[in-house]
Amino acid sequence: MFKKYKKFLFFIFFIISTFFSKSIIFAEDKITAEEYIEVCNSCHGVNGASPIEPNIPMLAGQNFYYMYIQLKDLHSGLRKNEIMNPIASELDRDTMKAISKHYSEQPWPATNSNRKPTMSDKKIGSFLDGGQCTVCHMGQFQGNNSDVPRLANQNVEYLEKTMLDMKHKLRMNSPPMSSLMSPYTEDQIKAMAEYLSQL
Amino acid sequence: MKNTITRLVISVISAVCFFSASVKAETLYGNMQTVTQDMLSRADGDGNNFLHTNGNYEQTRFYPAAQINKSNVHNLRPAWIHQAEIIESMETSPLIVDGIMYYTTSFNHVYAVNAATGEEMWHYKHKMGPITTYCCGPNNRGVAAHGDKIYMGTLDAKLLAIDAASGQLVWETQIADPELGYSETMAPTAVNGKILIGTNGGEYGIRGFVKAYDAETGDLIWNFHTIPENSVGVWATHDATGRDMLRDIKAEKKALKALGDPYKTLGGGVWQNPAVDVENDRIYFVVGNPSPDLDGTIRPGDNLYTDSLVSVKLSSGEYVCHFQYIAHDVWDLDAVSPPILTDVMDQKGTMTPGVLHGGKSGHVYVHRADDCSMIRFSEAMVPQEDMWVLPTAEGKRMLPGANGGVEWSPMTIDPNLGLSYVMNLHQPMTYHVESSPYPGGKLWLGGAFKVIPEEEQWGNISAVDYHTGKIKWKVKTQQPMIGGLMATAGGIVFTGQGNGIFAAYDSENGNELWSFQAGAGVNAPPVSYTLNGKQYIAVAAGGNVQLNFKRGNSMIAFSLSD
Repeated sequence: MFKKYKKFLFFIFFIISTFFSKSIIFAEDKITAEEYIEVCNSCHGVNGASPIEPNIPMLAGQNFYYMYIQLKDLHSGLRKNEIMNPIASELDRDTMKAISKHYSEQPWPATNSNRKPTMSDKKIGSFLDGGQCTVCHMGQFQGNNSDVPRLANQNVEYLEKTMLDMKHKLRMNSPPMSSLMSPYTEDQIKAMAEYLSQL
Repeated sequence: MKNTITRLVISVISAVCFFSASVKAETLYGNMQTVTQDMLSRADGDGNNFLHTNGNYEQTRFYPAAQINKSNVHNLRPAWIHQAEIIESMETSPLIVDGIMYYTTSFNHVYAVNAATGEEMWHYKHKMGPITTYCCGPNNRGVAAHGDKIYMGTLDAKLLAIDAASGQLVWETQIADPELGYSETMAPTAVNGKILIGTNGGEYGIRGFVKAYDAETGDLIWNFHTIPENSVGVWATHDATGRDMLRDIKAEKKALKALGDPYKTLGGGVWQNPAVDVENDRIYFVVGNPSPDLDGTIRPGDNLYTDSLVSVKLSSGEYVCHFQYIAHDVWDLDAVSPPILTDVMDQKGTMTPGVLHGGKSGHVYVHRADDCSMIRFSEAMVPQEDMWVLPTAEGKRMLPGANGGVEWSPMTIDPNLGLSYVMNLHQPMTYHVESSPYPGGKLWLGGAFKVIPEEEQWGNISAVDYHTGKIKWKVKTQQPMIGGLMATAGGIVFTGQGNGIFAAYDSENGNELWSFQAGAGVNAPPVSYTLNGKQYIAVAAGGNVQLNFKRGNSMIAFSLSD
């Protein structure tokens, strides 16, 4: 029951939390980046390090420029997300940069993904080689300190969902990724997500 | 008896070579504290320094010293190793000026080290801006030297001037907007008080350029757009080798009418240094792929001057001539390896000033320098299959894969033998097209290239006779080759591999004469210099992002054992 309505409940939570913030009460005041970060933390966890749902990404230690681009795309609607679109639509570029900077400066959290890969490392390695993933995501999948995200040790459910969304063209703000993901089966994507989450 | 005579001949040759090396070692120009234009112009005969990314303005990478030669190269040993802070892909070609080596690493660090001992003199770390957009790794391919400064392009699309003595920043200028996909990994070129630099960004919908800056002030002198406002061209249906590229000209003309000229986001990066003909006021460079790489439907026309050799005036940046290898490229088989100027035999057997370029297609192209026209193309150095099958949504296999043939790796020549030495990849791929609109500075491929994991990958070193186009010898390597080569007057070609092997080959026949295991991918161009009468060979071993070769952080200098 909760699962069915969780997106709606998150959205209500966001509305209530922002409504009661002092900046909304004093309508002339601009909502600060710090206040937005409090809102972000309500789903992504304190400092973006402990998301409340496994399919929500960790933000702590993620690349600044990657997060800034994602906020811009969520702002413009190029990246679709029922919860994030209305939040991001309120942000100006300076605020997006400040939020991205905050999370990028946090240490990457130690996670405890215990889903063992369902395929051999060798097989998964051949999928990753075929997609030339390391050309952009770099050798240890740490991202490129720029516009390409760190994948290593990210939440496994989020990784799997993202790759599936790319495959099924539900996430279209990085078209080359859709092209790259399209030939992989759902089982292969699941195995890649499991592998990456444990790096 | 035969052996005795052979030894005697080798001894005589060695003595002659050593003597000639000693002569070269005395060939000093200027006061060696300041890099003068005279030194830069005469670098091809300078056996002491290494003053240009590719050795000299002609970019031959042919080093004139011969102390290290065929007969003694087996005695080559590491003289010193300097380890950098950054352990990441190294594509740097060091410069050596008056006993000091300047080299760069990924993320724009610069080191000055004593070229005799490897002792660190200074270390400059660029304060990177928060926004960088770059394809294929945070690489840097080196600095340029001029006067008392060295110059470097950065990932956040700046040009820096650094004091060569102290490592302090003198000035910096913003070349282009990194948020729109511009970045710098190439080494600049210094000539006549100008610093020349191109740009990356062909994977991000930029509009490419080569720019000239004032070496003292950083002021822009001229800007040549590699994509003209009229980029349509002549609707070429065949590539430089005469093969049909299967273009749908009718559909393209219709798209042109509907969409207009796509020049503003058409790509055309310039990844590598121009060759310079100071005397004739000309530079020659090659232009990379159109954006988006695989989707030609939204960029009708030949997409000038992508995938082309281009020549402009050094003094003004004014267009002189071009030659397009692949019009309307939808495979990213573009032009990236830096061109070489040398005399070549034309179709009538007359020697004429020429330009060489190694293409991703797997051919060495030979041009006339005066009008850029093509004299010949070489035999294919790698397998070519199904050229030019068009990409589809499901993907079509075609060889070469999108990395080549010849990637950005600089070639070298031995002008005495008329041979160019070229490194190649064999990396089978499928080409997929998927149309998407311009994404505003983000990665824009219009599809994807995918490596076929089940198929074998390998590389080769090919010696191509540029007077005839025939391949004289080939050495097959375990892995695809990327990084660069250097030939020397000692009759040797030096190059490295992704598995850490750095080796010397006989220029005439490709026999391996010596090798060393560097512990990380040797995917950078080697250089040479002579100090206190001793010749050194130096190369970076840092691996490579693009082919995921083992990373490292070493600059290694070799000399003959005492």
